[in-house]
Amino acid sequence: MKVTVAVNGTYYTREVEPRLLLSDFLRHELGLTGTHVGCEHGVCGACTVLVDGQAVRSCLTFAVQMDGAAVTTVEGLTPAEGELHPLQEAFREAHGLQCGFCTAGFLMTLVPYLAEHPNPSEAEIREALSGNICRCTGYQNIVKAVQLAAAKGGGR
Amino acid sequence: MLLSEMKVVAPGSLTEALRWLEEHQDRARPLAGATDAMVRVKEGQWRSPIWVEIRRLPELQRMDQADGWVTVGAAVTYGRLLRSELMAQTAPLLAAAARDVGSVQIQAMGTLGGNLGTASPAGDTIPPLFALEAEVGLCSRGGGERWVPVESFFLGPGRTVRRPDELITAVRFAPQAPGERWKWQKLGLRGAQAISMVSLALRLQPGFARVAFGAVGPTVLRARKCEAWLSQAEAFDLATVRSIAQMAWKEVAPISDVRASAAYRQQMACALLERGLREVLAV
Ligand SMILES: Cc1cc2nc3c(=O)[nH]c(=O)nc-3n(C[C@H](O)[C@H](O)[C@H](O)COP(=O)(O)OP(=O)(O)OC[C@H]3O[C@@H](n4cnc5c(N)ncnc54)[C@H](O)[C@@H]3O)c2cc1C
Ligand code: FES
Ligand code: FES
Repeated sequence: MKVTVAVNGTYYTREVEPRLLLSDFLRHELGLTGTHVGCEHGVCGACTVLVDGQAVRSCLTFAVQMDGAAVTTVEGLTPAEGELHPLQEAFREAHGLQCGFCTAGFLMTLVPYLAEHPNPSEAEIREALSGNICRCTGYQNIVKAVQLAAAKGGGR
Repeated sequence: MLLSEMKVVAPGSLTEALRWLEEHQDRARPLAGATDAMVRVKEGQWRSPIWVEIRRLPELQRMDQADGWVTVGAAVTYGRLLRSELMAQTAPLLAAAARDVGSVQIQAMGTLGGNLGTASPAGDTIPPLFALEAEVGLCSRGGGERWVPVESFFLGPGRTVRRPDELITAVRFAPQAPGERWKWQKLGLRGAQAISMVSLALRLQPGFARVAFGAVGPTVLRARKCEAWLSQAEAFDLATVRSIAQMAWKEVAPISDVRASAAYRQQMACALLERGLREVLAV
């Protein structure tokens, strides 16, 4: 089945099997391995990408459902190699990651969230990231990173 | 992860989607946000040779109010429900439940029609729809459109009156009254992204009460005795509220499963009702 998707601003047309997951399409067809795969059951949030600007779980989506859609992965957050998105910068500054496995998912969840809620309270931040699991940090520094990014008007 | 082979078709219109269902009957199954379907397929359940993609069908996207009905299309996502001005005004109870579903990523893809199609007794939009006495719109190519009261739509866990050639197109209900008291409550194992162990949709107006529980029976159910007492009560003091809430114990029929025992669910049904009543009545 033919599918055309704009990923990080580039159009790709591929002949794929209908059973192909969006996560596998991104990683294996396009080589965009920044999107990680954890539980593959929609629970951990590691595979979160943006579809038409909204955070969705790529492990719960068929690639063919994305025909005509615009997908953004963590690779698409920055304009150029070597630069960081303000939210990534804040994660680095506040030690919002250890092993980094979960980070792409957190970033992709939080980027649209901060765009919609530029000044979230701590409770709101915790609710916003409740669909993402991190096994290392204990979340404290992730929350701090989001606060830092928000304080700097980051997020966008 | 590699799934077993299947076909996914993406019809461009409702008519075309209905033709797929009519021609293939049990061999075809609608696919909306895939948040339930994908999990079940990965678990080796819900094997369907053909999936008919309906998430983006324009005919299933409506959210409007006309002739006394508020109508919400089957492919409307939780994200749209909880951001909608119309829902905030006409069905805040339903919007509150949508806010409690999964996480933002699930809310972006999961649909109202999918929640009804999965027909879990723990589906979070279903108690509000019972309390609103909503009707479910079903459409087939041969039979046209029919509206089924939500209470007769469900037959048991995972079972509904929908025929294989039918699609859920929308739900409709009368708006909540402007001054009415209402409350949505959900008890899960953790704050976010947890399946309900018990949930409650409550509506109160003078002489009118609707009490619908989720996850305490084979389908969502209404506590009709509690409703009768609530609509007849002259005044609400703490003792009255407590005794009415205790009646819920006999009205629910829960099972024990991995999430909670039946006895716990029974007690929690009473506790949620008492807490909800005390909050909306300020007693
Ligand atoms: C991590 C996670 C957390 C979740 N948390 C919750 C929660 O808190 N509360 C809750 O209630 N649910 C929850 N769910 C379940 C799920 O997200 C919802 O039930 C959702 O509404 C399903 O909608 P969908 O569009 O994704 O349906 P799909 O998965 O696409 O379809 C579900 C079923 O409905 C049928 N169907 C879909 N649309 C139609 C239609 N228009 N006509 C006829 N049949 C149709 C399909 O054939 C299929 O059988 C969760 C799921 C996950 C993965
Ligand atoms: S890998 Fe998709 S949610 Fe865990
Ligand atoms: S940093 Fe290791 S899982 Fe989050």
